[in-house]
Amino acid sequence: MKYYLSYSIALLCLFLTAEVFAQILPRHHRDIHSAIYRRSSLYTLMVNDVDRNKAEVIKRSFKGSPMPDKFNDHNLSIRVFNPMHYSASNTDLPDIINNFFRENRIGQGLVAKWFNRDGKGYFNINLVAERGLYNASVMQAEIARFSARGSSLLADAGAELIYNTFVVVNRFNYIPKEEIIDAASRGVNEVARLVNRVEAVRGVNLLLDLASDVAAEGYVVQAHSYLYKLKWNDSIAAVFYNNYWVDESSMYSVEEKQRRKLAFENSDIFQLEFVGFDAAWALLPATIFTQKTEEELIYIATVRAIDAVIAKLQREHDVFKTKAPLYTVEPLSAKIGLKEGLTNNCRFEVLEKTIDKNGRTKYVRKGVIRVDGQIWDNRFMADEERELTEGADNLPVIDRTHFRGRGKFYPGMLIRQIR
Amino acid sequence: MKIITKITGFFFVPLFVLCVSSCAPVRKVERAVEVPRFEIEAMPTGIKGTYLLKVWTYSTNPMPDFKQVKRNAVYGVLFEGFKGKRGIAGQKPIVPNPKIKTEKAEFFNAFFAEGGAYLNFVDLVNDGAIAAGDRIRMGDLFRIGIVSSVKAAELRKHLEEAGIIPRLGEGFY
Repeated sequence: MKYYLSYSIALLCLFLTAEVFAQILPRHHRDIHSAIYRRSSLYTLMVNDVDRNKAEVIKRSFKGSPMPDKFNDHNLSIRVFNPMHYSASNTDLPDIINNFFRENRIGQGLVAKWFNRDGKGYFNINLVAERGLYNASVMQAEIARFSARGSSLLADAGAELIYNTFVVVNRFNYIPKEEIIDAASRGVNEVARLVNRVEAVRGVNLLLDLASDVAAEGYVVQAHSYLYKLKWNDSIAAVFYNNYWVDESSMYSVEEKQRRKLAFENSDIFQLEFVGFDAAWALLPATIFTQKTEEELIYIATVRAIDAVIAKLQREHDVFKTKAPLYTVEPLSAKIGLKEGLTNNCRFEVLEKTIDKNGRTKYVRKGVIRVDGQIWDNRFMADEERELTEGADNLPVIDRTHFRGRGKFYPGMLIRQIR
Repeated sequence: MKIITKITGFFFVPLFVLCVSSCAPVRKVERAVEVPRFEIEAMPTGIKGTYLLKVWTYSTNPMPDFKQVKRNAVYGVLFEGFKGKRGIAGQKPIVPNPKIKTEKAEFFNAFFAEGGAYLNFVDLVNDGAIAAGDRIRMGDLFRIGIVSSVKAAELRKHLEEAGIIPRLGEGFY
């Protein structure tokens, strides 16, 4: 009896000590650059290695792939380029990409697209305003409703979206199953060499699974992606508006308009900066029962590879992560939906903004929630489509997305996408 | 057995006592200055006759009291005004003379009472939803910002008709 009592006291002390340590150790803090989510505008490019296997099919698949709902389509007319034309003395792909950007004035092109530049060199803010309105959260729209400027407030806010203009340069590698089986027979290292040791562990496991599946023919598309951001800040914006801007109503002379037009075209202030690199896979086993053609299968694998690499970019770069405040807690809901790219697999961390006694702002994780049930369709023209649907009056109105999760949550806590 | 018991006792009991005596309470915050009841922040200019503002309330309750937010919004517009910020004009208080608050105490007590007339002059934007970044924990206090629209023109007219403040232009001939 004496022993049992001693042990019980010792265990209780151990437990309580652990609890106390848990209290005094630093809590889970998160880095947040901004609590406000802004839609990013994306330009996707493909490096066309014409000598690679299935290059033509992959090129067609890439050009036909849709832009995810989460991003504004900022594609320029050039979508594919041959690296051999930009290699000069250097064969490193980042240098080739930089040469491509420079020779094709991609920075200028991105800014020109933002301001709808026409053949005469005239700009306008129609696209900026349109994207500003679409980007607005429910809260921002409500504030605009009560303000004197109304929707113009939201349209002006579109100028802030220019800061979130990105370019993703993709290089695809098509690997047929026969090559995988051959590499697997020579050992795991050979398989790793096949995937260029990028994401080696997961890639190797995926390929070994495919190699061992005797029923499958199999297509693997590997996507290597380089992420760049348009350099845009207050200084660059000031130079643009003061020195290059011209529109139909401008009172400049013909010579001045021509001078501004040329100054914009020859400017070197519109640059792209490298942000990061990532790689992803799409594994598409083609069984002997499939009805799809080879081109259709490669299209599916290519699109999946693009989606996979964009999903990875979202996980690794804060600017892409959807953020919103919790709208209600019983039940858990937020005013975000398909427009932000939500799917049933999405998970969000719930963060509480705190200010410590030194005045430092931190975000502390309070829990994790996941999408539960139907997702709000807040995409462009979704309301109009719903009204035109037969029996729309009898359908429940969905104006928020519900979540499930456990924790001490309150309205206004920030939720940030983690998956 | 005896040795295990002794080791456990020698190590963990004093360790526990040490931890309990040394760790500070998690949530207590020493406040050297008085915490304001509320603060007013200017928002984009409201539609004609209204002021759009964000009311920051300090409370130990994590859930906002919407009636208190509305009361603070009207009180702030009446007696305190708010500073402007870049591109947004500030506003002076409708009742600039602080003595009127005391002289007309009976009127204002009824005006701000539970269910009082103040409710007719304020709306909470987006039903009082809290925007991202507007809920902040500061130790054991919560600082919560809620956007409100105060019908300033109607409020002024109401006080003029009640004889609390002179009409604009009164006294000029």
